[in-house]
Amino acid sequence: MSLFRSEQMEYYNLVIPRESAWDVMNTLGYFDSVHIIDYDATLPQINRPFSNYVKRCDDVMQKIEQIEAEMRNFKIEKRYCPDVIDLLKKRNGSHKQFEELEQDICKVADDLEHQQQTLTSLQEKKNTIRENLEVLRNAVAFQNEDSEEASLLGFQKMVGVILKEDELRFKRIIFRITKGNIHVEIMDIQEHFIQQDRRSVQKCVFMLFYPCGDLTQKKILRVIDSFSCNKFDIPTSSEQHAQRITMLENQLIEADQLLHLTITQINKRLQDLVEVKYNCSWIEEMRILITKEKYLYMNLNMLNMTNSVFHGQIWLPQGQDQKIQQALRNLHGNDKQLPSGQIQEQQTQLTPPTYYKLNSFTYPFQEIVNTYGIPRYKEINPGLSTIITFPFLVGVMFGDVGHGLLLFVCGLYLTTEDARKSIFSGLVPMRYMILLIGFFACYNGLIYNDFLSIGLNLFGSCYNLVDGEYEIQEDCVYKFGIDPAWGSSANQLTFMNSFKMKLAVIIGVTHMTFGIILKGFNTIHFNNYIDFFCEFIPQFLLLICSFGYMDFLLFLKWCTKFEDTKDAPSVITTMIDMVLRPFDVPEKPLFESGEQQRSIQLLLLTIIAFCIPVMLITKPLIFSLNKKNHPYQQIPSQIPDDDANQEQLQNDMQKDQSQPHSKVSIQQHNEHDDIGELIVHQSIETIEFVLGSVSNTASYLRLWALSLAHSQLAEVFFSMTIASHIGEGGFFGTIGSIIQFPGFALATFGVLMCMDLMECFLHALRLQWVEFQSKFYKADGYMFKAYSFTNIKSNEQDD
Amino acid sequence: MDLCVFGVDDGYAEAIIRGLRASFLSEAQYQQMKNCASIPELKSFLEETDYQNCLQADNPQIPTSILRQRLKKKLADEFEYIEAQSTGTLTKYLFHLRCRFMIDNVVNMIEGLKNKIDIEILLSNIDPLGWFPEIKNIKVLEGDDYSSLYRDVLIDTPIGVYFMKFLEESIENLHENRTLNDIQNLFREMKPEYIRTSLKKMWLEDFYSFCESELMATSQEVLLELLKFEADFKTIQVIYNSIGNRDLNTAAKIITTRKQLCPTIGNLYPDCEKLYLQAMTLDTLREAVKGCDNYRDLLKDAPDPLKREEFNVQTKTLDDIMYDDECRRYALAFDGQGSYGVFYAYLKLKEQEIRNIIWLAEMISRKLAKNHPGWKKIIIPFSHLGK
Repeated sequence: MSLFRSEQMEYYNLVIPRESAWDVMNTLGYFDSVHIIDYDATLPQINRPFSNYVKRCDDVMQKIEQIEAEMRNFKIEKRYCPDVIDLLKKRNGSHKQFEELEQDICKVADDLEHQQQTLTSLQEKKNTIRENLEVLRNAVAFQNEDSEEASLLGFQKMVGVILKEDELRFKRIIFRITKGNIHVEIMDIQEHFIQQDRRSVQKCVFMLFYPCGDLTQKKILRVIDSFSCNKFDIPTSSEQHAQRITMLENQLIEADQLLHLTITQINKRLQDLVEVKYNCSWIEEMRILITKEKYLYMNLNMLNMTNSVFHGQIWLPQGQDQKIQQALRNLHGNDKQLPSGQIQEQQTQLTPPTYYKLNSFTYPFQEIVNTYGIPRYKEINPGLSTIITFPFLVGVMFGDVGHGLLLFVCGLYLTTEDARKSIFSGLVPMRYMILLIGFFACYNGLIYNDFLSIGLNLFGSCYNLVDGEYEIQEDCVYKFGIDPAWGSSANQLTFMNSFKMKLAVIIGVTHMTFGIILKGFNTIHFNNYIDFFCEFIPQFLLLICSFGYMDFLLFLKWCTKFEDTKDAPSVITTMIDMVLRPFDVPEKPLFESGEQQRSIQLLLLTIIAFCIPVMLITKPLIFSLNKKNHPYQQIPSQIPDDDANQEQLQNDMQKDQSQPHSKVSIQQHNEHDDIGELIVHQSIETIEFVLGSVSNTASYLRLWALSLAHSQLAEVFFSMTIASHIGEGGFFGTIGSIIQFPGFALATFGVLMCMDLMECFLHALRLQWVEFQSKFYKADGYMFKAYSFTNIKSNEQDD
Repeated sequence: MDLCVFGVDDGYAEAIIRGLRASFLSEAQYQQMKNCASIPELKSFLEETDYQNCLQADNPQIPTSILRQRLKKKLADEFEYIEAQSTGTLTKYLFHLRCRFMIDNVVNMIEGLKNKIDIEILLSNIDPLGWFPEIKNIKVLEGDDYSSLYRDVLIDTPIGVYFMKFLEESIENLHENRTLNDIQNLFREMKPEYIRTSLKKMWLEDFYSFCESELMATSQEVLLELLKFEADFKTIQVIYNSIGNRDLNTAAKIITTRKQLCPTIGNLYPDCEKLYLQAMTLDTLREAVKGCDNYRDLLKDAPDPLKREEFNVQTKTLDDIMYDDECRRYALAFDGQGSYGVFYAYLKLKEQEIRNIIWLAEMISRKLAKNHPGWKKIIIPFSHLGK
């Protein structure tokens, strides 16, 4: 029963000689069961022995990421690895493998970078040619008419290309610098240019006409220079002009071809990288191998190195040590020369980590529990009972056959392979929980006899409709759930409310009693008999005698037949009278005689009154007596002992700061010594429990409230949309209901299936955490973190 | 009242800044940095801090100038992000903050061009916080003709206003019948440091009036207080540095220059103006500012500027003392709620942090002994608060 209590853990000392460190860690990584304790969590990574390896892995990872970025640019998809462990086993090398990989990847990355550079320079060259070409083409427009005239008037011109975004600034500066004595023509180049950083920018050709003069020219040149733009000459004659254009056009074609060739080369190279070798693309394989390498060194860094031997502490689940020792012995099967690692069992006072073997069915439920707190080592895990109680509580609130079936079908879909690839993949881990919630919603729906707000007459109603009045058949009981005839009665809501309210309280008290019983088991398991007699027994009696008795009354009332319902006693009044007027004989007894009821209630009250002081004072009393009974002579001999223990604990704690529990245990140690604190603590606990038993029971009424809300919402949506059309029948009724159906479907889906389900889920979560778990759950453990290569993932979400 | 509505527009930006509080290096981290033996080690240490991403692409032997550039780039990126998230007054306010860096950049460019340093080097060294598109056009500057530089390039820029005022003031100070030659002479003799100080003074005054007129009460309270102190510090610095300055040979010239450079805001102005303008020794300066007892304490420890030759690395200069005091004020302003002071303080404190890192990087690259007093010369933001 591994889920009921966490696995038995054992503390081992791990010793690895430096030469075989990699091999040992590599072997351990395939076991899913080693928890390595960091010997000094405060030590920064950089001061650890293998930090340079980690750094190198990071560098290689960066190279890989560069390559992958390039792939995304070229829209090349890589194949992810479906089975990482399989791949790792196939590519299992030695610690020298990393160097090879590193070289390979660096080579590929460098090659690629080289090609990139060629590409960029080609691109730049092409840009220059194109700019020149554009300038010449645009210049043609001015060549003939204006420029001839202008040059006659003593104007000179200057042409070049600037960025489009600089245009305005350029014009302004030119204007200011020459005080407006200059004519600027700007012509946009339609096609965009691709920059080095792959941004596409727009550029434009400028043409300046300025009066001759050295000073102006110098100034203009300065400005042009400061805009870092290209300036071009324009041939004087139109023949030369045409020649230049054709020449440039040829060059452009050439450059284009070269560019194209380079791109194809790069593309081909990248295609080679995504080729599948084992079960995924080469590049992904590299990624996984490097990740593994880094993971291994990170964990190796958690060990303490002295004199080229690594020392470390690990936790192992019971029974794993043989396997690991075997594997370590076989590590250098043929070569006996090399030393291999060893593990030795050790005694420790550290609290072991909490470890459960989970599967995809138990995972979501354990997750609910873990969100509240990790179970203490060896304490009863609420996760086990949660598997049924949680979906059941949601089902009580979400009780409806129709909605339940829908949810069940959704759950079934999520269990299929298709769902993993769909947009619902996020819900896949919760599939079994959804399935169970659907099932219990269906079950509760059958009890409430509610199918999308309509009653189902499955087994034949026990009422006959006679002249618009219902008449009950003799000796007839509806087989399962509520008789559908209630659905059309006037007091249906009153009846259902009273029923659901009682049901909620019964479920609540049962749930809480179960929690208290689990506490009892915990105290027995930890041999804590003081808690068993001073806490568990009185708590259990208190709950049973108060609200347990109320539940009993409810059943008793259900089983009694009252001729006139006005004679029936109210359970609430009975309960109130029991506390406020315990010595009066009840007016309307539920038992055969009022006297009998009075004496039973008096007995219960006495038990309750006895329980509270037991809870309150016995525990502190026992502790203080224990202390007094110890002869004082013993104390001196004990104190050093105690101190030594504490010192050891503190040392351990300093060594391992990641485990706050060791601190907790010290605090508890001190706490127990201090009687005053214990009294305060105990009285708080007692008050909390006594008040809590009332408020928690009331809290379970949310089961009733939410189930009421659910059924009322369903009814409103049904009657507001298609109910009247269905009632009308015939052609128009059919058309009407077809038109109205989308409204009904959307409301059902959006409000009930999504929002209401979410609400029910949250309320069930609260009942689970607050009302149930507070009864017994300590939740101060810490997780078992396996050093395992299964933590290395290969998919999109991996980051 | 404004605390209620502060969050409406500026809550998000403030929240981001508050989150960035975690990125400051702690005292323990500084201690570890001091223990680094080489620049690559320092770099890999910084890669474990918040500066991780901005350094990864560089090779381990990173020169301090590039290191500074990277660190500043990160700060600029963060600032830009916050600017993008801001609206209304906050955007204007943040832009004002940038202007200080723009002034620095412009003056650095001018100085570089005067010293005939290659424009590419200059451009690669500009502070990314104060970048604006016209900056590369400063290259147009010819000789010392600042007025044409203003007319051609700076007129459109945010700091054009300050530059204009600066030119006007400097020309006004010439005697009545000035000629073009006089003006050219004036420009030729002008030191870039002088331009920087006067531009910054104008910026400070302008920023002060902006804060006074446009910000809400809480922000005003915090910021005006900070700016007053900054102005006072600036004043003291100007006076302090001009004591015994050989370039300003006559007393009258000293006083006019001082008057030009000292901000007309702050706690010292106008009450102590007359006194401090005429302070010619450290003692008279101490006497002049004794009205505020805090300043007196500051100057008590300051070394005498007349004995400048005796200064060495050990000397705790006036700048160090002031940075220390400012740092404390900014840390307090940063932890205040619902004011724009937090943005200002963030910039200042981050600048201090970058200064610290660069200082340590210098110390490390020079391989100075660990007991060298220079190691203690860093001011850790928020370290005052714990005590």
